[in-house]
Amino acid sequence: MIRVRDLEVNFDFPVLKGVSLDIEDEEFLVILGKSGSGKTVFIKTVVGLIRPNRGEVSIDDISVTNGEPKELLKARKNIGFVFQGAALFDSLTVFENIALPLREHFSLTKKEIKDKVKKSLELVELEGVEKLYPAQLSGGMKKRVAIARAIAYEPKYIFFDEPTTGLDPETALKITKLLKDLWKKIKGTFIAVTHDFGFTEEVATRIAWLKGGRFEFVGKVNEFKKLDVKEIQAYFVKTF
Amino acid sequence: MRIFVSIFEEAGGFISSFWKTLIYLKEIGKTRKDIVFQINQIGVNSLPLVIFTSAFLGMVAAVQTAYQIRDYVPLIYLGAGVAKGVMIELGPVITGLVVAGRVGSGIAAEIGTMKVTEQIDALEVMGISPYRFLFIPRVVAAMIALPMLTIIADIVAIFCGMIISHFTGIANYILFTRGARLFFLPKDLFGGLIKASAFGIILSLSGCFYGMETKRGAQGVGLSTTKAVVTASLLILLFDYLLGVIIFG
Ligand SMILES: Nc1ncnc2c1ncn2[C@@H]1O[C@H](COP(=O)(O)OP(=O)(O)OP(=O)(O)O)[C@@H](O)[C@H]1O
Ligand SMILES: [Mg+2]
Repeated sequence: MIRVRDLEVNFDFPVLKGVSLDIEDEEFLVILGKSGSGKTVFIKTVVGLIRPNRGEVSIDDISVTNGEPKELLKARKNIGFVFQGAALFDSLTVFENIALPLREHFSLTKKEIKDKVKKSLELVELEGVEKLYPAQLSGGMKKRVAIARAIAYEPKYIFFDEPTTGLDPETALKITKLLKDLWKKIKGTFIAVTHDFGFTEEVATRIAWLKGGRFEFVGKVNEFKKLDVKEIQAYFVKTF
Repeated sequence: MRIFVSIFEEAGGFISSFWKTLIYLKEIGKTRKDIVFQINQIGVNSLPLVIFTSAFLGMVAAVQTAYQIRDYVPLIYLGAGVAKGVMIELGPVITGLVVAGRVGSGIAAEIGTMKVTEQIDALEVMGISPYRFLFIPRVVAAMIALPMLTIIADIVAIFCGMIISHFTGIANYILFTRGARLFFLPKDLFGGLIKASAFGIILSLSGCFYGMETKRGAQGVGLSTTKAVVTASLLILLFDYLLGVIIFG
């Protein structure tokens, strides 16, 4: 379980104004919010990439925010993260990209690494790309490789920053389906951040709506739809 | 006042990243392959530039020295003057400055791009230290590559100095080499190489540090590369003086 308490993050202005949230094991939580509402900041703070000004985060009772590097490292072995722009390492091939975290933290043989890379590429339905460099891939393929990299070491929690943004509708739909299948197959806890409501409806077991630096709503999809708020209706109009 | 605070902040950050790099030195074994790759990037790929620069450096040194000493000092000292000047001062410093321009900016651009495209975040979230993964290979490679480049620069510069003095009739090559050898001290050569090594650390660390400091936005990476080169150049001159005092003082 991930526990977030009173999280405050200020840059030149307050971005998160004291948010709390519990993320349950094996759920598919979707965090909705407008562009610039602080979604990326929120998940990056949860995994310890951004230091909060106040508040606490713990992952399976390991504190992320207390600043102990050893603790943080322990927590991170359970975390996968798929960045908004994939963030593949340009200087490494697809194979090396996926193998890197495996090599770093687990004592595996060459063959075991090879098998794990192959398996995670199969899970994202990509094959025969091991030797290519990120620059040789399309946007959708990069997203898939990034997902493969995040699932390769079988972390318990996987974060997705806007998995369908910047893709054509067909590819976006494919990724949506892929994540849904993947979630069922590997029984992990998925946390995705998005403003794509089609995606949300398809995959979410729970929604958290980030607005004005706070969670305006946390609950089920159908409850969210029932909310009588103009912005939510706008979501529907846009996406349906 | 503001500017002093920010200079101290920057210096603090710079020193702390040097310190963190030192700490991760114990994991150097993991980065052996990367170090070899970086030596190639930093060293071998800088060769043409270094050879070109040092050739002219040697020629200028010979002609200028000859012009200055011609009427007062026997020309046997020409070879000695050029060789010493090149080994102690000109070889390491010019190599350092030239490579800072080429490699320091390259490192800053590379790491800066990684920063803005979240590749650094990706490293951290995987529990891989950017200091170990990015800083160590570059800093160690530059520390090794710079003395090697400097030796080549020294040889090329002295040789070209000799050639130019021979063919312009200032001093023939026998006189030039006799002078160079007569007054040769190993300390001159090795002192220069130690400086070169320090310059390697400075220019690579500067690239790494400003790369990591890159802010988002269109100016980000460009600004980092500029800062990396300017800072590296200033620090090279500062340490040239300090190390000069320590080694030769
Ligand atoms: N490192 C940073 N330094 C300064 N300000 C930042 C930083 N990161 C984010 N911000 C600011 O915080 C706010 C929230 O940013 P964030 O990236 O979390 O938005 P988002 O909800 O993910 O939006 P998008 O859907 O466009 O990705 C923005 O106004 C942004 O400018
Ligand atoms: Mg975002």
